Parts: sequence; structure tokens; C-alpha cells
Amino acid sequence: MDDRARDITTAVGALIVITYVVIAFEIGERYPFARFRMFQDLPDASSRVIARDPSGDVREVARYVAWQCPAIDDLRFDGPEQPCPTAGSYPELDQRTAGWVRDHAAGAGSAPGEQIDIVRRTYYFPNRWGPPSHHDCVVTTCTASRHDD
Amino acid sequence: MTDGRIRRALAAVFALELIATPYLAARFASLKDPSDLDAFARVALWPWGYVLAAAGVTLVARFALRPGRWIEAAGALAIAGVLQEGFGHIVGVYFEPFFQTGAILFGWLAGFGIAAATYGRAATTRELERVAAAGAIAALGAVYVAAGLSKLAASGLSWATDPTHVRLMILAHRDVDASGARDAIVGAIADSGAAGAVLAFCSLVIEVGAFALILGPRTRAAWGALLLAFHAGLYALTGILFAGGAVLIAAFCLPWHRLPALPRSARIGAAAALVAAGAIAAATSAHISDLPGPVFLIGAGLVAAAWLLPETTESEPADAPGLDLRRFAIVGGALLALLAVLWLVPTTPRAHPLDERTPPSSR
Repeated sequence: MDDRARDITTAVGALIVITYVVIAFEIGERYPFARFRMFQDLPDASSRVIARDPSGDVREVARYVAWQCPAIDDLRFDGPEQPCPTAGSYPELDQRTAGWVRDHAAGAGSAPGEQIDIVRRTYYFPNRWGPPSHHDCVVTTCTASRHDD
Repeated sequence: MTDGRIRRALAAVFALELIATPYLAARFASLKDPSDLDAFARVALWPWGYVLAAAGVTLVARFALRPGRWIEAAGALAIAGVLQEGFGHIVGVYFEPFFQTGAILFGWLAGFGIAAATYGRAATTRELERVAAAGAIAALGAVYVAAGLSKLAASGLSWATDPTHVRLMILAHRDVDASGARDAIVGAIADSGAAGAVLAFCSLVIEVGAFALILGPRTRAAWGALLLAFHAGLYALTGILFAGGAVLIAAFCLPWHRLPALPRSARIGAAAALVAAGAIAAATSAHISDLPGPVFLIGAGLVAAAWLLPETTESEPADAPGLDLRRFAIVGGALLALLAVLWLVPTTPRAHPLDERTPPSSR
């Protein structure tokens, strides 16, 4: 490619970068334009929905099956009217976790498993440069069985 | 990297994502109450989702097989847009990894259009393809520039120096009962403010600096390697991977022509092995979140297979006409003027659908 041809493709490339960015910022999320805003904010906390057994050990919700929870068909961990603060939550993670519980509900006549608290664990930094701390808030109490039992 | 290889790599990944969209839509829809799905959501589900995907794949295959087929490319892009809208109505968010490949196809079309307007009737398909390929590469970079500028617009330069937000993201995506060497590394990063700040700074520099992809093969190879490192790090720490985009970074940016030429049979075997490994991994994955890795393998295999196809060449004069710089200045100036008008006219950018149902304070 000669120098002039390369200059032209560079100029066209610059035009297209500018075009895409300007349109994306002006019209927002309209395919194929997007600002790709994931993680753009500076939250003070983040959180994850997990399972806690009576001894206080925590595991991923997906380690349990045969869930029996109040109103399990309507169970969701994202959206409004949550019992725990959802600051810094990731709705797609919360939807996936709620989907696991609903998809692995106990069948009719199943023996109840052990009592499991589904908790939202919220991470934060008491000292911004130090290690994280967390606090747990019980979302609901269910029964379930370990996968590997 | 030849212009034809760029077109065929783009077509291979675009076809894969067209097929994947109704599949992913169905998996997300299974987590929902069917009564929550509106009429538009159903365009991404069986049977319409697969009918649209098949039509899109047909168009994109025609685009791959012969230079200059911009109408097929535009049709495939429109179909993907309809499928994405349906997906958004199901999940509440768009699947942004697939927006990246759509943006690259838009870049190819924009480059083709600029070249056609600039060269006029004297244009050869070879010249149009060359500028279109440059447009695709530029749009690949533009996606990262947009992501970086979004962070600067939302949070300013403090995004690059804050020691907490990257670590908070990592913690939210980390299994609480994970163990092993990988989790030990993740935990060490989560505990270190310096590591969080360094990762944030490097991420922003790599994203905003991605305009460098337009600057020529050596710069493109160097920045492409940085972008791949960025994706590998994000995948290792959070499981998040824009698989199609990562495949196209590797395909567009890395100096494949410097590798020793392998026999055709070895290349066929490598492509088949990548697709088979990805398909097996996808079939055995328990979660949707496990799919990006397998999709990366399948995408890489499809690109390798697409590169095996013979390139159809047009019968054209060997000497392309010289570019009319005056026409190029008029076309570029007109485009910039249009963008300036768009920038100045008050608009309300469409928000992520999730923003409309979740209060900002809870995000």
C-alpha cells in the first residue's frame, strides 16, 4: 500500500471512529450503536446473592438443589421491593441466581433439606486502599439440599 | 491481513452471533414468567428468531463469499438489530457483546459508503473493499473508545485512579466458595488497593487509546495485543468476555501473515478442532455465563474455516484510479458537518432498558 493510500484509510478510519462515538453518545443504545457503559460508575459497594447454612458457612446458591422457599415461583433478587439494599448489585447475576432456585425447586412430596438463608452479601471498603469488608442481609429463608449430598 | 480475510472473519463471527441470539433469548426467557413477555420479545424466540437468524446467516454468507456485497451486509445488520431488540424486551438489557460485532459491520459499511462516494464511478471493488476493511478495523477501535469515554463522562479521571471500583466488580463476580490458585490471585487483587488502581488506569488507557488501531499494521498489532490482554484479564477476574469481539481483535490485528504457512489439511484440522472443542464445552456448560469461553473457541474455528475459502476476485484493471482528494474532502466534510448538527441538536439518548426500571441509586 502506498503512502497516500495509507493516509486515506487512516483518514477514513478516523472519520468512522468519530462517527460511531458521536452517534452512540447522541442516540444511546440503538443497535449497532452503544456507549458500552458497563462499569462506568464509581459505586461505594457491590453485592452478590449467596447461600448460608445454619452453621454460618456460605456457598454459592448453585451448590444447592431441591429448594423450598416462600412464593418460589415469584422469587427474584433484582428489581424493586427487595428486602435488602441492592446498591451496587448486578441484576444479570441476581436474575441468574433466582433462576437457579426456581429451576431447582423441590418436587412434590420431597423431603425438606437443611435450612438455608439466602443472603445478599454487600462488599465495601472501610479504607479505600485496604481490604474489603462485607455485611450480609437475609433475603429469604428456604430449605435445600447440597448437590454432593 | 488481506481485505477479503477481514470481511470473511467478520462474516463468520457475525453469523455465529446471529444464530446464538435466539438461543440465548430462549435460555433467558426460560427464567421469566411467559406472561411477562410482550409481543416484540417473541421475534427473538422460536420460530421467528430462528427464521430471522437463518435469513441473516444466508445474507452474511453471501457477503463473505464475494467482495463488495454491501446490500447483503446491510440486510444482515438490520436483521441482527431486530433480534437484539427482541432480546432486550426479554431480558431487560441488550446483549452488548453482540453490539460490538454489529458496530464492526457498520464500520465496514460506512467505509464502503465513504469510498463509493469518494471514488464515484471510477471505483473498483478492490478499492472499495480496502477502505471498507479499514472502516471495520476503525469501528472495532471505536467501540473501545466509546467505552472509555463513557467512563470519563460519568466519573471523570477519578475512574482511572480510584482503588475500589474494579475490586468491587471483581468481588461481585467471585464465587464465595471458590478455591485454588486462580481464586488466590483474585483474592490478592481484591485485597490490594494498588492493584485495583493499576487495573483501572490500564483499562482506561487501553480503551481510550484503541483509536490507535487505525494507525497501521505495527501499531494495530501492538494495541490489539493490549486489547486481548485486557479481555483475558477481565475474563479471568470476572468471567466476562466479549467473545466475538476478542476473536475479531485477534483476526484483524495480529500479524498472521508472519506465521509459517501450514498445509491446508493442518489448517482444516485446526479449524475443526476449535469448533468441536467449543461445541463440546458449550453443550456441557451449566450456566449461560459459562458460554463465552466456548463461543470464543467456536468463533476462532469459524474464522479459521472462513479463511480457507477461496477469495473470488473481480476482473478489474490492475491500476486503480487515483483518489480524488477534493471529493474525499467534500465527503468527509459533509459527514463531519452532519455529526456536528447531531451533536448540537438536543436529543435524549435512549437509556439501557434496565435504567428505566431500576432506580439509579440501586445500581
